[in-house]
Amino acid sequence: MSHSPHSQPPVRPVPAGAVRIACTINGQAREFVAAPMRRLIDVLRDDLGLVGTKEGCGEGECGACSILLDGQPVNSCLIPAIQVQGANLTTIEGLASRDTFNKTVLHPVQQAFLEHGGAQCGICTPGMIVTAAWMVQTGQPAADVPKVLAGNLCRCTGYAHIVTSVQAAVEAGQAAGLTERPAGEA
Amino acid sequence: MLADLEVVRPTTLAQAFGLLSLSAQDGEPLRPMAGCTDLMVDAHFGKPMPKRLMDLSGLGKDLKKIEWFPGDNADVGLRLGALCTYAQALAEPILHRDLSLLAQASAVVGATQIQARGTFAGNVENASPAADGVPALMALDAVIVLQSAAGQRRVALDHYYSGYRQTVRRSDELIVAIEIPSQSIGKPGQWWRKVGTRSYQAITKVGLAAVLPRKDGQLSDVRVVAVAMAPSILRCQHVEQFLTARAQAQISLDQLRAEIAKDLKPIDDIRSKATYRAEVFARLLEQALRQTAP
Amino acid sequence: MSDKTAPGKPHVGSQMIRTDGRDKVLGLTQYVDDEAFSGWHGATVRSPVARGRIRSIRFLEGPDWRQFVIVDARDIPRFAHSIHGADASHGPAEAGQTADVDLNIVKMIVDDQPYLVRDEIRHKHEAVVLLAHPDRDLVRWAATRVHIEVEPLPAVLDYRQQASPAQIQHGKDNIFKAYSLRKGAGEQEDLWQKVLADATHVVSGVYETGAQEQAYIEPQGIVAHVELAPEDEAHGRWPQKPFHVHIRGSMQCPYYVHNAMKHLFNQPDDRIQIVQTATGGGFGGKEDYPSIIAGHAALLSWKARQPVKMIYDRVEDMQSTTKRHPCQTRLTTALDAQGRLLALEAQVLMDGGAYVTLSPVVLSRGTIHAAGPYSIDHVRIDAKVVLSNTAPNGAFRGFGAPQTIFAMERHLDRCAKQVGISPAEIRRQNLIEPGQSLATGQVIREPVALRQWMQQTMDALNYEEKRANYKAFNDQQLRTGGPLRRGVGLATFMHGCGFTGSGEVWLDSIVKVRVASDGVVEVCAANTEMGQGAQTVFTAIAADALGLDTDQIRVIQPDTDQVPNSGPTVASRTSMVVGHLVAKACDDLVRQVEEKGLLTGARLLPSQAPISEQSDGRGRRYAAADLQAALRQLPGLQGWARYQPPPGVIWDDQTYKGVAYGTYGWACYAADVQVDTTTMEVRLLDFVAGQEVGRVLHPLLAAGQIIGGVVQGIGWALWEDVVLDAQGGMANANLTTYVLPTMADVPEIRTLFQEQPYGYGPFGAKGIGELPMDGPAPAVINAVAMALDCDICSIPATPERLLELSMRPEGTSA
Repeated sequence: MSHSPHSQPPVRPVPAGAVRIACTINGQAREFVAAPMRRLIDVLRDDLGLVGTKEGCGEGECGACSILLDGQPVNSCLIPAIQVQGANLTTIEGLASRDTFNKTVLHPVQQAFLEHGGAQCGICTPGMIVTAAWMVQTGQPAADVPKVLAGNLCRCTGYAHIVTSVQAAVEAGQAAGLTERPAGEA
Repeated sequence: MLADLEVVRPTTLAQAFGLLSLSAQDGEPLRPMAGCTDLMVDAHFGKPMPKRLMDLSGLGKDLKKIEWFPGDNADVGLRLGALCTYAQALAEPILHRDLSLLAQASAVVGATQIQARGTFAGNVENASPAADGVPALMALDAVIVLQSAAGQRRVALDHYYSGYRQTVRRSDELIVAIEIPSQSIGKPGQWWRKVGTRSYQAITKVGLAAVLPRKDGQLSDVRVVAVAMAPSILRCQHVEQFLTARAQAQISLDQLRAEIAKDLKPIDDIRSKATYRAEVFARLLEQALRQTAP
Repeated sequence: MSDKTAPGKPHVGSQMIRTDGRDKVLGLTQYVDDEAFSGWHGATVRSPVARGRIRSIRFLEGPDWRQFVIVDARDIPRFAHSIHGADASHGPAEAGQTADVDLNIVKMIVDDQPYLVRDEIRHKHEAVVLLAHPDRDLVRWAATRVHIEVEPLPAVLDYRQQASPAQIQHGKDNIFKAYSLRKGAGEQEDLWQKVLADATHVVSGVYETGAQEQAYIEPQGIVAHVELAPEDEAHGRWPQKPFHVHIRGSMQCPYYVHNAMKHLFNQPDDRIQIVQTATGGGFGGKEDYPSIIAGHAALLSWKARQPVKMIYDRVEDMQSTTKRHPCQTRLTTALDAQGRLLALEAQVLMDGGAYVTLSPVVLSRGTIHAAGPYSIDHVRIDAKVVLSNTAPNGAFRGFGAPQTIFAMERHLDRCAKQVGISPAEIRRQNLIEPGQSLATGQVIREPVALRQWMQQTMDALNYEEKRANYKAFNDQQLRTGGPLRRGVGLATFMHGCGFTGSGEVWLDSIVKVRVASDGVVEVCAANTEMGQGAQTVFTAIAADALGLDTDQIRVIQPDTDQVPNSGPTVASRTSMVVGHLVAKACDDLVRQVEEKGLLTGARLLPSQAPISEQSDGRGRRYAAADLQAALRQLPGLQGWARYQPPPGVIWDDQTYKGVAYGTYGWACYAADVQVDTTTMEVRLLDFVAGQEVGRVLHPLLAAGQIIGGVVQGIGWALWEDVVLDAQGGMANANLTTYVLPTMADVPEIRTLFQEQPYGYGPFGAKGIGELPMDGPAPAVINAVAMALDCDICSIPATPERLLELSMRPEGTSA
């Protein structure tokens, strides 16, 4: 082979058109510099270390990279960085809270997944939980779970325990009055 | 590579039109981008990318509205801003009441995450022959509002496509809105069906968006729009002509097959077969006629 | 919080929270691509054709190639004996031998597959050149800027067609492996012909099943770090001095990768370390393939003198990794007037793809399961797996059994129709009973009650009533021009647990438990958690075997430096075989503590029998506090267990006679479907999965396993279609056009469990991992066949195929 390796790694260039982007992630103001078309998932995982968001396909089919962008579930593999200028993002890392002793308190959807067997291999789980948390928050009816979560693929569970997990969380959310809107209004 | 693409992000419409017209002049036009649900997939699969892009996400205050036009009058049509998403439209009660065709189509575009980002205008401009939003709009006689620094013009959606993945938009123009005329709102006989590879997250294998009103027992002012049956979303002229002024009892499945063959030459591809598409489209149309009969 | 079980209550059979659950729901679990990494990224340049000889490799304009590390086959030495020279003593036995050894071989069953093509390409997307660079995006792009020029050779693109002489690439006939199984008159042609002649009905059919992608949601990925001796660091040549190879990644079988790396790098056991990282699904797809990525990443790491990470994207993963073997099964059965099966002949043909990989073992399981859970006196089965120029087919949940079970279960329904009895009745006539023998001659000693279990599944679905109602419904739809048709379908089947025949003896699995410095008992086994709940089940078994709470147990992440070889995580063996060893190792630990006289409290259990042999899981020998106190004084103490076969497991690999498996999971599945004949789309209305599993170790996990398998089976039956292009490459290698079921495509699958404790599994448990993959396809297709009153014999039964079938003239099948 005529091409011999170079022992020193090349310096990674910052692309000429890189832009400074300011947004809020999990309640914290963040700023980063990125090429405008850099995928949001790469910004989150590689640049900001938020590796809870997973990549399953890169083509917006599997939903493993789901996050909330201005309160709506989106596939972060299909969002160019430039489109989150000024936006408010929530990733799986932003769902749990801390109690007065600084102990992690699971989000009700996370708790439901734990108790009802919603997570198996765990790779689809963050995207699934983020989308489900949005469902609970927006007070959508429990019967709509399969429709609302159809954009999140899972290969382990056959979905049944995910459905029961989310339905339990939706019902608990309604009982606790956590939801933004009355049930039934999409 | 994506890293090398030039992207501009105007924050006013005037800026946007200025940038578009400049770029049109220097021969390397800006490609507008909205929800990016198609663009980013193409980029991922290494398909050829436009060199320069114009991100519209800074124009939300101008282009994201859903409003009645020309004023707040119940007798007029609906205007969807170019950045209106499927999720946004689905939250409008009127859509479910008077534009069931559009509501049904919007509800199965991709799934939740795609509906939150995908826009009607992006779907129109992307010009996929299997588009989900376009057929319903076309059957409802939607008009595309194009604007540039030089002014505004309106093009009927069924005249918007000039070939496979080609539209009549000039490179200095931007789709600013899609208008659904008042005659279409609440129009009887709206029928829609997408046959996809699965319930959600599916690309259409064959689909039909139709408006099949009856006047004195006969079909009149019909719209029959075919999805994934031709190089672009298409109104079936022969079929529409055949149906016009006919009564239900005068129409057979064999006749439909024959008329459809005049309008459409579906193909085999990775998702389905030409024979399946042709036969199922005929069956869908027959079903539509039956189910919309008074 | 981590344990729902009250103190002192058994964990086996409880709904304890899965041990890896909290991290998973928080998104904290670190998969291989999530771990902190500083090093280079690898990419693979792949072949463009099905078969051919490499003429040249050109590096096109664009990338600055000086910045890349490039590896091809010429970098890998052919002769082991010349490598270490004077240092040969560091190598394994073959290093000292003079025989020529090509290190460019993926060590598996047969030495035919290279890590990198040397001269002849055998399938599209085969690895030819490897690249490494510090920038992941750049290296992936660069891989598209390498042009491989090929002189094409005649390729086999349809495994069902006889290969021409120019297409022969393996042995004399492209056959990777063949088996013959004979029972009763199957041994003798004249007797066989007499059985057929005397039968009231002889029914034949040809059944085909397609390839299937495992589609774990975490694509394959490996990080390799080759640590060279200082003398070798400075050179770009193959290392002269001993060195270390460290591999971390997504995998099912760390010791398979260990074995492969040992051979590739010609290093002894202790210089290779394989660590499994959290694995986002496997289903067989991460059984053998990780050895190849590990080899690639390690080769790049050696040459780059950097850790190298290789993560496949979805497209590359689907194009290049293994699939379920496509299979064609020809069946002929002889039946009497009542529908009793007198004889069965099966000819099984599987598509192995371009290299042997695991095909012989897949075919073996397919052969043994071909005659189903029925008592048939006369059997002959001939099975072979052949080469085709596609990516190798390999392990996928069920491992050959789903293919032949589909054929048999579909065939039985067609037989029932010919005999004039119901699908349930023909099964009642033939289901095996204790004392009767399977096709291999294995006499069933377990108290199976298959008719009763089948009835329970049928009752749960309301099968009989639906069958009657649906006939009326379909007639009414037909009369009124309605588009809907409904049907119900059954499948009865079994799945052998663990490796076939003497396989478990050959594996010689070992499990260790050890007392950590904090007194916690650590379970050391090579079996991997990949979603199925192995870690939780091992925790429960160890806790109950010791009489401790689960917070006193820690299951060690598989790392070949830390855990003994307890065999691969495949073949429905982890809970049953390895779980049993965990219990026995705990027994061994307690015995040693007893011998040391450190247990001061009273023995609570009168029985001296080891806990591992008790089926109720309630034996607690000592108060937890007493044992804990003793263990705290014994850090480093180890308990061991080694596999011993149950008595009577005698298998003859030559004649395919004997006890193929120590035990089986038994099952009856029932499906309820509706077909819209306008579009030929099939919708599942209901599905019941009933099975006998020995003992349910964890109800929620067990149901999760079953339901997950069922949905994979439904996908295989209806939607999942691997489409090949003109060069035998996967044309729909993405999740848009390869159609996995979504949450909205499947009903809530209902499960029923029967428990008859098995004496050689932990607390009576059998394996359940693969069983649920076997039954859904035939149950669903039998239901569709009833709904459409047509003769469907191949899957996937896509709407396109169903339409074609429905428009064919009467009496032809597909």
